[in-house]
Amino acid sequence: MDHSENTLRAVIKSLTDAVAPAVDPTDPLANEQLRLCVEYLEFLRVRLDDLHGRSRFEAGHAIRLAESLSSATVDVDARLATLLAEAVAAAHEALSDPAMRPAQLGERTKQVLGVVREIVRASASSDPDVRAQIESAVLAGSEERVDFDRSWYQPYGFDPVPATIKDLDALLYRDHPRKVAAS
Amino acid sequence: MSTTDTPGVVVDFTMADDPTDEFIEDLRRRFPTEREVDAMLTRKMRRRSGSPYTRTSIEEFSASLHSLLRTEVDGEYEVSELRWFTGGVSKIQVGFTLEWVDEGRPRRDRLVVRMDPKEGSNATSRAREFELVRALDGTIPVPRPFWLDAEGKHFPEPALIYAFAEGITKPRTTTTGKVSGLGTNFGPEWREKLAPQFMDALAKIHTFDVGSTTFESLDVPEAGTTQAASWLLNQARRTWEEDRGEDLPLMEVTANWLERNLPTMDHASIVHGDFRSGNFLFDEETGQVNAWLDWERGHIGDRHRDLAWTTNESFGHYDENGTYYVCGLVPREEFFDRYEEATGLSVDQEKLTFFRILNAYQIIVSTLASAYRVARLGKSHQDIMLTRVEGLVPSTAAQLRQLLKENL
Repeated sequence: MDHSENTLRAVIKSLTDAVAPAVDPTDPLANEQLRLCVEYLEFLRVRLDDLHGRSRFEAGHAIRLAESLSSATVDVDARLATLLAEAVAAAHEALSDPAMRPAQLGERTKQVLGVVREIVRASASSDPDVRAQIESAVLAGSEERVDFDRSWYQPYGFDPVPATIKDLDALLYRDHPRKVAAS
Repeated sequence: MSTTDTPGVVVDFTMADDPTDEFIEDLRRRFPTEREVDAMLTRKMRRRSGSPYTRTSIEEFSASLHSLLRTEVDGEYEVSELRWFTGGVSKIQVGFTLEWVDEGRPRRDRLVVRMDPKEGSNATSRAREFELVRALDGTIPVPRPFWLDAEGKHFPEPALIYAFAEGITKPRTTTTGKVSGLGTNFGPEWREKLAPQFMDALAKIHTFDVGSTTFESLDVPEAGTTQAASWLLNQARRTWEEDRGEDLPLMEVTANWLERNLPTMDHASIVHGDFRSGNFLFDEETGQVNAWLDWERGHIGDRHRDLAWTTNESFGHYDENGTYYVCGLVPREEFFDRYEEATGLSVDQEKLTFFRILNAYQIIVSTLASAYRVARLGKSHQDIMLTRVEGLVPSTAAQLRQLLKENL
């Protein structure tokens, strides 16, 4: 059984109870940074269980975004259209492999997003209607990424309209909704 | 450049940790900008593979300070009350008191050393900051600049020394009893005192005659061209390429839009770059603004850059009646009219839109790309703070999406 979450609790308690009182109170930088360290460790403790889910969400998002561009990409650059199809296929394969580690999955996601980047850049010199299709698809597809990140970083308290932040579980597990046990 | 599985598509961002000359020169060529900005970014990249930042002790800092003072001050002097300041994500600040003789007169000045870390979330120039503050000293209240160590001859990094300015950035309590950060609720009494000074300072900055001063580290973009906007966009795009650790397709769409919608500048102004509440100090007894701070983003360019920044909703506040106050001080409905009346300069809504989008793009460059790279390489005194500001990316991206949806 992994004890990372438990150990993080202990680390946070140690820094708060034992280390913080020993830091020179006249050193504002040290005190501020210790506080930030503790806050981040608490954030990590809360998010630890969802790190793998995050890497799967990011791969799924990259695939959906890429697939929304695929028909218009042919009109931008045939080579990029081929590369996009190959990168998406590799990402699909990775997502369906339960043994795929988050870092490996992340590499497949990077490939897809790298090709998407080249497509958007190439579209700048394409026919205006094709460029508009590409850019509109990216803009539409980016909504779920923004929603996800707003939810992921909600504990930081930066969002100006927190009431509109979507549920993280619903975003993380959109393709495989978690079954909640009947109480 | 290295590639991975997809031929011709670079997804290896680690090479920016130790950039080749080819990488650096390619970006300089693709994204031309002002000379000092180019020098600053090139210096950053050439030093990138160097050692991480390690905290300078107060004793080491003192040695650097004395090294500078021996050069700049004639005769005897005494330094006391040397101490770290808190706050400041991007700059290291140390306060001290100097007793010295200036042109035969004994003086006692409270001063501040403001120094770069090895790399920050915004690559900026102390020389530019020094020149801008010196030019505006006497026109609006600014901390009086004393000395500049532009090349880091005395201090570990470039630094400038200026007078400590007294005052507070927000009332200790507001009318509602709360103390807040950005979006401060100043309340009606403080708005009445501060709003006129706020508008007056902005007007004087933007109408300052840039031709009356010779600037060494600031270039003046040509009026009637898109040069001002192009320089800023290129600076942001170059920094994105130099610092980022990932792709974000939304940023590519934004760059495309900005490139094809560059506005023409009609009048070259000094631009503060971060003109908002929180960046001026005022006297709580008299309500007098004592100093405008944080000139590190300052440059010469299009006033709409400042106008878009200052009217960013996250810097303002809605009162209990639902009236939105720009920076918590001036009703939005009045702000642009008052500005035009005070300056004689027009406000162009399309240019505002351009700079709103560019500002959001720039914020994401700083908080997603630069913050990531600086923390990854341990280049600053506030790496942990920089990792935290990544939390600002989602709301900024949401704002950017909305702006592009309305204008694509």
